[in-house]
Amino acid sequence: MALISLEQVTKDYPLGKTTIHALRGVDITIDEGEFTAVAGPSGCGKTTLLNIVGCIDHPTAGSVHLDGQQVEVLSDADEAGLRLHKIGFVFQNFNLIPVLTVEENVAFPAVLAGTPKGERRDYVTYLLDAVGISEYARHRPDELSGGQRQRVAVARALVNRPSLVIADEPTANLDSETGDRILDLMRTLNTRDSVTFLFSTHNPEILRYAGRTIRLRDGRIEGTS
Amino acid sequence: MIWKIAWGSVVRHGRRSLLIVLVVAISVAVMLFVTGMMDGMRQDFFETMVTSGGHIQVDSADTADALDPYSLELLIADWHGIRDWFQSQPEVVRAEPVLTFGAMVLANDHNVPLVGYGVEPDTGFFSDVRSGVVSGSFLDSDGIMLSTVTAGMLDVTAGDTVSVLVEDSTGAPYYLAYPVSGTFRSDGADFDQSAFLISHAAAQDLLYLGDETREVRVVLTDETQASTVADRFRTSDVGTADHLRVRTWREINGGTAVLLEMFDVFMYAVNLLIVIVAATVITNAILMNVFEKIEEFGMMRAIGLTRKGQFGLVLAEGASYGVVGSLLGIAVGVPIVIWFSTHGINFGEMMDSFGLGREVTTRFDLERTIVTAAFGAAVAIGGSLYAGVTAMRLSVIESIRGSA
Ligand SMILES: Nc1ncnc2c1ncn2[C@@H]1O[C@H](COP(=O)(O)OP(=O)(O)OP(=O)(O)O)[C@@H](O)[C@H]1O
Ligand SMILES: [Mg+2]
Repeated sequence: MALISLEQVTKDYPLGKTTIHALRGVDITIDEGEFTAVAGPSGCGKTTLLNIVGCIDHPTAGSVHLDGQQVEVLSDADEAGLRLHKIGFVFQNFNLIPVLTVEENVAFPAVLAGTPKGERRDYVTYLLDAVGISEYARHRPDELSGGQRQRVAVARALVNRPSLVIADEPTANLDSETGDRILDLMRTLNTRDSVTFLFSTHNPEILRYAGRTIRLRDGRIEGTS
Repeated sequence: MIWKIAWGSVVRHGRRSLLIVLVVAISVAVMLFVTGMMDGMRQDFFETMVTSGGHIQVDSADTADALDPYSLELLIADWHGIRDWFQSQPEVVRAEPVLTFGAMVLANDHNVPLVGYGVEPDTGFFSDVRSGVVSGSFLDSDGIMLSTVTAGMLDVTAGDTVSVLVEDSTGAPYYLAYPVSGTFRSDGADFDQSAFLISHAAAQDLLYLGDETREVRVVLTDETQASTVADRFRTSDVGTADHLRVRTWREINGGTAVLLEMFDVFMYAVNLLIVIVAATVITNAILMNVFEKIEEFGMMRAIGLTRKGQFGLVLAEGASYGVVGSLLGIAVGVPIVIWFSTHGINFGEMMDSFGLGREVTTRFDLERTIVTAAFGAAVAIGGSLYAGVTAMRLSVIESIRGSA
């Protein structure tokens, strides 16, 4: 069964007297274990799409199903619960909580989820090791490089063992070498631990990592490869 | 972890946090001081009342309409029975006769018109005179007590002799010489300028009286019992006589009691003002704190923090400010209150003219301190409510974009 399915999803932004059609009827199906990229020029609707899939924004029309659950009918609290348990997020900016250490940042969603302390600590340790950032566990985010911070964000996105990790331009603020390493990491987690990834980029270089690429233009799917 | 985030925010917004903490601290300190002062004033008032006038006074019913309150026509003869009746009541600590009269005190070619207070030599009243003895000792060797002010005017000191001239009960002028057993400085400037003390028996002799006195003053264990005891007296065998007037402290000190109540209202108004100002400043400061990092809150919401959780986080931030500010407020306010509880604040003649004594000492009260501190913390938490609600209302996407 499909992990995610979008049917005729549209998103309009009112802007003064006109309306911006950020998404104009998008149909997407993503299966478990996929490693999917959303690509397209700036302003084509990538962030809008990812936010809708990630349940932090709502479509103007159309429907979204995640794990068989229709998202639009959920209450606010249930939606927060869905984000907490089923989705992991990696943002381009404002990823980490500056006053918490690296390991606390990674543990934060697990704390919200009420995971028992021992289990939480073990898994955080495992994840920090998996993303290669163990030695910085006690550091604050501002003591880390951009690439290291994105690794921490990836680890945090995984801590509640989500069905899906969404990453909106996770490498946009990184140099290409560091960006490559983040993508390597995500790909490894995808193949070894079969985590489903959906990420966006406008960098064609990055697309070679993708198992599948959805190309957006002007809010429409231009093609899939 | 919630507290770590909240506390981290306090540290992070250094300068603004300092402002919030100071506002809470100053509010708490000022409230402690103001309430401590009011408590002290009330306590002073009741203490002074007990030591001078007592809680209940019984005198002649004609006193109310008399032109001369010190007229010897207004005395009561049956005071022994009245005193004995009061002393048999369980609420009564002490009952004593006091015989006031007008007199002229003369020495060294000087003379001063004064009011004489004939009191028992072991009187429980006038304790501020007793504790304010400057030279000599209290009503020793059948002498009189002069204030340092009148002693100065008469150019006498303890051990010297003065003459006291009165119009006796027959209407004739009469005088006797007395040694000055001591000089005093009481709590009231008015009293010092207008009064001297003499033993009750000596006053009766001087005035050529039988066993009469002007009034009986009564001290109770608790001022709230005054009207109960007074009513009981009015219906007793001795109290029904219609030539008697019975007044409680509230009736005697009506003006001052009302003043105290006004001060109470004033105190609440000051405290309310402090709370309003503090709450406004804190609300705005925390609002700025929250919206400066709204993207971060948006991110936390995106990864699963609920609206309630976010609200709690903002409240925790307010609580952190409240606790730190209140503790600081206690650290500053309590020493001030304790210092002024022994040193007194001199408000000079103005305060004295209200009948509240020259000096006000504050009163430290632990329970009051804890309540005030908790109140300070509550104001800070209250100040964070608005920011919490406003931030909570935003959708995740609005928060992340940082656009409200
Ligand atoms: N809050 C908003 N209000 C109005 N228009 C918006 C809003 N958010 C996005 N848009 C518009 O919707 C369209 C799609 O935006 P979106 O951010 O999804 O693009 P994107 O593909 O992520 O672009 P980029 O590569 O620059 O991040 C753009 O035209 C954008 O201007
Ligand atoms: Mg984007």
